[in-house]
Amino acid sequence: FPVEECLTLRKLGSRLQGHPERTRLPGLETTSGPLGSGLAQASGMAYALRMDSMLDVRRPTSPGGYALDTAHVGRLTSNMGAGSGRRVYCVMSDGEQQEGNTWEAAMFAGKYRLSNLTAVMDRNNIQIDGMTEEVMPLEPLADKYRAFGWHVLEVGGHDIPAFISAVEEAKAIYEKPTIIIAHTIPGRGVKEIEFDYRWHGVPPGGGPEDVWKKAEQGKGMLRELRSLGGRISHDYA
Amino acid sequence: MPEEAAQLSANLLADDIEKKTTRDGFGIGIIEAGRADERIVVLCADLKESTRAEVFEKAFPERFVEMGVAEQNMAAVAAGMALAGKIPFITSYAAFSPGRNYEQIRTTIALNEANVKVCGMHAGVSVGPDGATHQMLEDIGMMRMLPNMIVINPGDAEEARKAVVAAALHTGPVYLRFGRAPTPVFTTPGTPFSIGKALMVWDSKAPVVAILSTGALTHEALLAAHVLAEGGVESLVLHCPSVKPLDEEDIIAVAKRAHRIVTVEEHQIAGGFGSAVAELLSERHPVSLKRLGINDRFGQSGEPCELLTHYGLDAVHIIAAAKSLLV
Repeated sequence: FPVEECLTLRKLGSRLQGHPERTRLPGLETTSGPLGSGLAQASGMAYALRMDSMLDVRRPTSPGGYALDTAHVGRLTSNMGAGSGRRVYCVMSDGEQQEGNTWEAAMFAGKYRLSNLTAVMDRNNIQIDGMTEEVMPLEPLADKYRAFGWHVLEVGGHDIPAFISAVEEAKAIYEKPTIIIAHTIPGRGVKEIEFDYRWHGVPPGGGPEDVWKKAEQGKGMLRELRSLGGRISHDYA
Repeated sequence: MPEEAAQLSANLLADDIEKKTTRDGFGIGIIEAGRADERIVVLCADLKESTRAEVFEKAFPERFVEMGVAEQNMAAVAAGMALAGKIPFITSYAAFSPGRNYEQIRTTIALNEANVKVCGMHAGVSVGPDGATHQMLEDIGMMRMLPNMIVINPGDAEEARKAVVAAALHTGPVYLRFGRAPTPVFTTPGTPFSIGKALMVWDSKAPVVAILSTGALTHEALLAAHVLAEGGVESLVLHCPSVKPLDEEDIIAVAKRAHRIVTVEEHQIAGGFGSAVAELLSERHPVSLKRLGINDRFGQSGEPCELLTHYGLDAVHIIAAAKSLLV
């Protein structure tokens, strides 16, 4: 992926759609833009991979069976392939925990004990219209997932070593799917926008102007990040 | 005359023609497809008896997945399974799948080009006593609007069997529509079926009206053609199980021969099969057209045959519609 292609994001003809699409962008496992459909699809993948670990489904069947069209298999399946030992990771937001489909999927993964599935929730407490607990309260999330038959881990989402050990711990859980609730601070590192839901999905240059004018937002934020909020000096204008 | 090439039932116009439900045809077809291809899995939303998914469960328990009453999840889970190499058939009542899970079908199956077969059972008013909530009349419209989606509405149990096998062999999303009530089995194992093809089931030397029908109502269309012939009106009946892709060339050809067309379907007139025919002909060969279907109303409880009469979809109404075009 050439870096300059990033400038085509959300533009006509780009592989980089406003919400990523599997059939346009190489490397994507699936299309899951609409909230709530990610966990369900990931659960389906985990279920199918587990079936494969017991049965090599790609083997053509007995004489008279349908021939496998390998070209189509390549086009229509992601690069997961058959075989055991593969895991499915699903990254979710917290706002989409309000979708019914999320809980249908949580129920499904819990029932079938999809231990090859690890979900990660970015628990940053904001969504488009406000704070999650004001828009439609989600808590107690950990208890809810436990009640649905999941192994629940909670980590500081900015603590990378802690996150890595949570991911490793999930691999050791053999009887349940695991969810890692990663508590994060939206806009972390730029004090002026931290915790502010108005910056949800908004790029620098498009946000509210109570601190910086739009034209100054990008530079202002970079300055703050590079100086660690003014605690160290830096050479950038 | 019944079209010879269609190899229809010898009992075609008799009262004692064998009756069977198209969902039973699904049950037979899915076993056939499942035996031939180990990638096929069946997902079920707490309706395994009435959808006939239980037949597959008995034959291939390890490839049957009970989803509970969660149709949205069923569609998206199936998409995930398809991307991992399976060929999922998802089964529920059409009112709920695709009725309730349209967005999941749109995004995770159609846009995503996931190899999932959506099987909508108990479609149409002929569900009967269950009433309007369970009588799906908008599914063909919803599904045929989706890019990448094939839409098949089989005419009888035998054709339903063939449609399931054909859907399994087709790579990509397919919507299959099935009914609850037993209906005449007018085709035979020798009757041709392929996705995208219409089937001439009744023809005359000089037809003055063509009846285009989809689903089980094609048998009513055949009865109507027979009565019309006895009254000296020559007609033809083109059976169109493949609503999308539509057999455009065959439909234009019959429009050119008969100049008048009646369409018949157990679905809302708006957006359904008749709409598809109207869209095609108004652009490429406009002719007089009368569309029979449910006219911007919901269904209600009743016996299947009562309802078909009440909503004007039986042979009597098809005859009247054909005659109205001849005036």
